[in-house]
Amino acid sequence: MAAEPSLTVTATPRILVVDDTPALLDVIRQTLECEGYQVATCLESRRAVEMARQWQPDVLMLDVVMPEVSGWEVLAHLRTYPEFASTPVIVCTAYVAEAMGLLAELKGPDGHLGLLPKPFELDELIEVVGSVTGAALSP
Amino acid sequence: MPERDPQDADLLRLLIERVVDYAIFLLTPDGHVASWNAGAQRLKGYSAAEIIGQSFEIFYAARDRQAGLPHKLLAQARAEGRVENEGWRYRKDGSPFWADVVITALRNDSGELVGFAKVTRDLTERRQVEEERALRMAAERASERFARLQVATAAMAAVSRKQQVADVLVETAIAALDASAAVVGFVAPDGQSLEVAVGREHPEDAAPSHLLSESWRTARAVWAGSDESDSAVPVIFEHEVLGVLAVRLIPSRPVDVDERAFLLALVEVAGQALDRARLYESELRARSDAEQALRTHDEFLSIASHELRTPVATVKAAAQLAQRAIGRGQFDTQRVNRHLETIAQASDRLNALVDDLLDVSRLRTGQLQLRLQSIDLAALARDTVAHHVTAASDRHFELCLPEAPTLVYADPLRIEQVLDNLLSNAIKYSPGGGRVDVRVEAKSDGVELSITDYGIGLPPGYETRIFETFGRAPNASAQQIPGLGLGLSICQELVERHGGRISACSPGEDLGTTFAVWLPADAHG
Repeated sequence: MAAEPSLTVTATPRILVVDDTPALLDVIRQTLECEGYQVATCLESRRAVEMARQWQPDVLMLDVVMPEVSGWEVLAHLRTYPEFASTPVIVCTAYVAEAMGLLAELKGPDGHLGLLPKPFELDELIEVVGSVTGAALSP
Repeated sequence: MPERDPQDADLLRLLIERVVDYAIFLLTPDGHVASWNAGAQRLKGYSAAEIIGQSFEIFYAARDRQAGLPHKLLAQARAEGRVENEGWRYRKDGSPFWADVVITALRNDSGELVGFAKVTRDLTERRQVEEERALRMAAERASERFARLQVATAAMAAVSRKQQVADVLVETAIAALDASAAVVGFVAPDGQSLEVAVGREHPEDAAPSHLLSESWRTARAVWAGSDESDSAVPVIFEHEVLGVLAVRLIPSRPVDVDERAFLLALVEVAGQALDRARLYESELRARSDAEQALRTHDEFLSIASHELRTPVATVKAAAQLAQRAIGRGQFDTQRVNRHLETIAQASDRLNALVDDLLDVSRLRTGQLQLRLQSIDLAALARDTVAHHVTAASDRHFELCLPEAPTLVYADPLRIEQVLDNLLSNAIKYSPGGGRVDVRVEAKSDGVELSITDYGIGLPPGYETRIFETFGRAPNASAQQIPGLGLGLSICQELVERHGGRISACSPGEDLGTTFAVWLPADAHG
């Protein structure tokens, strides 16, 4: 049981959630924390990449429509850093049709993207986060 | 005076008598035939015996005789020494021939008129050849113009744009008249001016554009220029002038009757084509306007549904969190209460959003009726501020209102809505508390109201963007100040419906913001 303790410690996945709705951020944080994730939240999209570089999350969850800097812009900026080249990113948006089109275009070069349409079931949230985190942390 | 050799005189007489290609004979001073030669007999059919002593009027048509032409010619020859003219003359058998006649006055050494020498040539054949050639050329020109008209008619039937009709008009007019410059002007949609659609110019001379408006105003063809080498013909459809074609000929020559007829026929055809093109273009415009309206509407619906889904997502997630907590038997009242509180707040937000969206929708579709009346903007501002004073006791409102009434013609409920929104914003976006200045000022042509706060201000570039539907300043979102991004868009829409203006200005972030509303002065009082 204690043969591989190091794995258990590093496998507490860290998720950075970026959204401009405080109440929703709060709910997402509580849900994911209940599932055993470490969660950091970011209300201002222009600070998202800076926060990611400091906190080094395993997964990012990005709202799309935010003032000043959109989720797509955050994603593009994030990918310019080699350390985040293959970090899974979940795009969470109410513009589902538009997001699906853009994701389909991006998924060719970037195979680490997921989509969570708003509004979502908590089970969907947990499932999407679980699947990309599993993929990110599996050797 | 030298003596004439009688032998020479005989020779001369013989020469004259035997010439057969010209009728050469003498007239007495009063116009009676005095001599006759072989040419005269051949040309006119009279023998010398028959004609000598007769008046030369016999050679002229009755019409010319009545007009006194024969004696006029004699008088002219007498006065000028010589007269030449061409015209129809008549033989003994009554047949006409085209004659070239020279009459020379003969005077003796003392200058006394002794008679006239008359030389006549028969130019009938030459004239016939010339006439035939002229007729053939005219026929060719006519058929060429007819062909051009047919081509132009076909071309105009095939085009659907006004510009294309103008191109065909200019091309055809220039080719058919061998004109140097042509221009087409169309009456502008407002009917107040002519717009030049196409012009082709001679390097040294412009098309006679100045004739366009004359022809437009009079609805008639204008033939002008130094020798009528400029023309302008109106393109008319059902008594309405739709445009004008103006043409200039260089080198300058008059536009002849056939050419005028051609231009008139050309614009006749153009009238129908232009009317069709006008209908087609207005149809196109209407369709593109409708498509634009639909796009704007779709965009609005798309943004609105996104904005509605965001609080719905919060409500849904919070409700499920509460269910989970209860399902797991975690009766943590505090935790469940927090979820319920989140749901209540998100529902309020949803409700406010729906109200605002309805307002926006009503404004956009023009369903919002304004109940206009004369109101004192300063008094309205004072009342509206009073509501906020009781609601926000930590604020100090600094009012600067004029003594005299500041009358505007407006819907008091809607203007109150605008003031209410701006005052709420002033309070909301200055979270640290502080002063709010409200100022009303009569301007020369209207009344200006301004509301200044000393709060979070605006980042550069957001002074106009905050008025866009769902437009919000990033520093407001960052500081978690709730807002839907619709209030200012509604304010702008309302103020503009009143014929007024609204603007924002801020020295920068954390330096406060001033909103100014200008409304036109009441012109009904």
